[in-house]
Amino acid sequence: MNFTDVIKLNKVFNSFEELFREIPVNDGMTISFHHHLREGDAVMFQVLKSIQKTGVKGITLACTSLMNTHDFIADMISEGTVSRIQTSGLKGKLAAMALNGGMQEPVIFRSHGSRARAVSDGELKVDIAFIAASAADMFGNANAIDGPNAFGSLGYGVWEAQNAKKTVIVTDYLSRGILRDISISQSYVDAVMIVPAIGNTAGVKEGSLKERSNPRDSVIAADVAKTIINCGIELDQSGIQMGSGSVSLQVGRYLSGYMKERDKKFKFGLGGITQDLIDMLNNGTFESLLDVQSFDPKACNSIRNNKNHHEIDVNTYANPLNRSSAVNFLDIAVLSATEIDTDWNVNVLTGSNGSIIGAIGGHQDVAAASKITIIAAPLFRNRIGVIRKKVTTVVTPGENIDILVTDFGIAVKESRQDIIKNLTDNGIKVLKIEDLYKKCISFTSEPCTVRFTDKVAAIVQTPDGKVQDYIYKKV
Amino acid sequence: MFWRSIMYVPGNTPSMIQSSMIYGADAIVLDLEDSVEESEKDSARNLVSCALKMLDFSGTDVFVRTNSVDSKHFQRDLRAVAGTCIYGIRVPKVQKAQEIVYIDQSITEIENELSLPGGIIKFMVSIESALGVINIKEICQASTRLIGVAFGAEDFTYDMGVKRTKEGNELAFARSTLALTARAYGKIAIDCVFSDTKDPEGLRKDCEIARSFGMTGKSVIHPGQIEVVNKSFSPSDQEIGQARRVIELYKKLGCPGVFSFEGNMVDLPVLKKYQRIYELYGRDKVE
Repeated sequence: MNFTDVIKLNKVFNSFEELFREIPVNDGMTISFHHHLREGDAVMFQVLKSIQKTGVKGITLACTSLMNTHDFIADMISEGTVSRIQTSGLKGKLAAMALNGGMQEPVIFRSHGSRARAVSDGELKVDIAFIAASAADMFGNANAIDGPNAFGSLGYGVWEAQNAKKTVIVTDYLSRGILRDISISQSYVDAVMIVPAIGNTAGVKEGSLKERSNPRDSVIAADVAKTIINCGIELDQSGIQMGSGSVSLQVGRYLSGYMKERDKKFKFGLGGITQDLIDMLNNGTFESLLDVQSFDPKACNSIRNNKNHHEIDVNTYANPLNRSSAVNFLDIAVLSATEIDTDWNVNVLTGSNGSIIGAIGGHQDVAAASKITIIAAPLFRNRIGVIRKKVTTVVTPGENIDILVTDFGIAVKESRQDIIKNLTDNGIKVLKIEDLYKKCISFTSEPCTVRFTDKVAAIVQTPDGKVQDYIYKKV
Repeated sequence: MFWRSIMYVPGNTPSMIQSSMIYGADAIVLDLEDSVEESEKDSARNLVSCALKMLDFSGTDVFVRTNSVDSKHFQRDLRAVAGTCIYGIRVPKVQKAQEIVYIDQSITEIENELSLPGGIIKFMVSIESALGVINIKEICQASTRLIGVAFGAEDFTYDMGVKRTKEGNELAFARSTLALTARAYGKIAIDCVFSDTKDPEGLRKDCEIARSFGMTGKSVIHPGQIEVVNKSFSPSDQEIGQARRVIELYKKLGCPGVFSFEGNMVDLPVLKKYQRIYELYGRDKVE
């Protein structure tokens, strides 16, 4: 290929048939997808169905996460198109299939930071990254803030594009001119595939934002805010990640009022970005937002128009090999848990019955890096206790957790005497986690132990690629 | 005995009962009456009885609202909760002093049967009709075991054939009468619920009105109302500080009958007001 051929290279395709002639998908390849569109994603379905038609088998699916909308993949596993899965989270039929021994090999679970590391250090070699983008131009530049299905940050896709052997942008909007805002440069893009629709952006919010009027969440949120304010960290110019659930939303509102009254500002807010966090950027609570993933399509306007709303890639967010990753500058993190044990180990992936119900997300990365990590969780959900003697699956080790805030009280790890002193000096009652455990079982009784086989259904990695824990097939 | 907020908790909903103590209400009322359908009365009674025996309410005072004395459930309700950790019972729709006597006798019988110390089970009543308001003086005098009266505005306005409004003018006479009479006979007076759970400003104004009539606290129906009610029925930081300084000066001067504080005369009635605030809110901070 000479220089003239290169500049005339047509990257734009209108059919998967043509695309696969140019960029072949072969048996045993590893292909990747991001999960920015969450439950609204339609790209994976279109790509995988097209691959299935070619008769290719044994695909390794490396996704930043998988949702309920990806249940269709279960059938593809049964008939052999897909053989292996590497992901941050798993739900629905796929989760059940993994636990029932339906996969050829164990699922590999990685945090977002761990995945960023794995694609950069070669542990995860992606042959083709199919990256949903809401807009692209004919040269291959892409973003997720233009076009009819704009969804915000393209943080996971950017790093995939830079590390995959081949990168295909999948979009439903081809710009007439060159994009003004470029998240993925044409330099990393081999093809642009035009599809009728990349998905439904209403699905972006699903699974992250919950209703706000749950009174138990309000109690937890008030105590989390109180803890943050009194734990000893100077909040002015600090970095914080708060999450996106109902508790986080309310914590944000408490803190917003507190900071405003005292003329203080957070240096940055990090993680999944909600409309509430954007409001806090606009009202001066934050100096900047670092947005690796938008939980509200309205983030598009903010990214486009507010120079302090920064789209960051996942390498910048949490790659443990990157000394400058944003999590390393966090002062406070508020995280959730499906379970926490009396050794402070946290589970966010499996439920107490052993089922896979969640996703690691950035949990491990943020907890490891933040100066203070707070777990916010109810003492029990329905009749299931959240505090256990031993969690079903260790996702984030106890050494990285400092505080547990529940609706029945606040516990601080004994080794954090500095926090205990600061809280008690400010009139906040501090309990031991064992006290909360006793309180928990006074409602729920001692939980039975779930029985598993010795067949490994999934491996949970540490951010640096070691084994954190195994998830076993249930009896 | 001082309750600013008293939260109703449906007696047939385990998830609400088990977390009822975490919201900061001064007291809760586990309800066996209006929030429980007729077909669920038995199961709710069992549930509440078990909850009272099993749960640690963490210092929150617990009442049980029984069904009214003229219902077939009253005696069963009473027997199911006697001898548990309850502070007392709350009996709805009371209209006459005779009912108070009947309640008192019923409790006494059960205390004797269970060998409980006499008088350990207290009770409050809800006044929810025109007749109840008119008879409030006799009601308050009918039992030393009666600790307070609560006002039920929904049934009251139904009885009166008037519409309930947010301004509450239709309730003014009843609220004032109940609070005045309760105060006269040493009982507490608990105001009616404010039904709109999404209007904290309206609730705050309603609390102000209730407090101006002399109500000592308010019933609430949602945890989100507790903070507003507690704040409304508490003295301000300024009032607490002033009370503390008055009491400190009073002690320093050797407890005189009359003295001057910041240019104002403090005699016994004024001193008592400050002492009440000091006892409730200022003591820990002084010592």
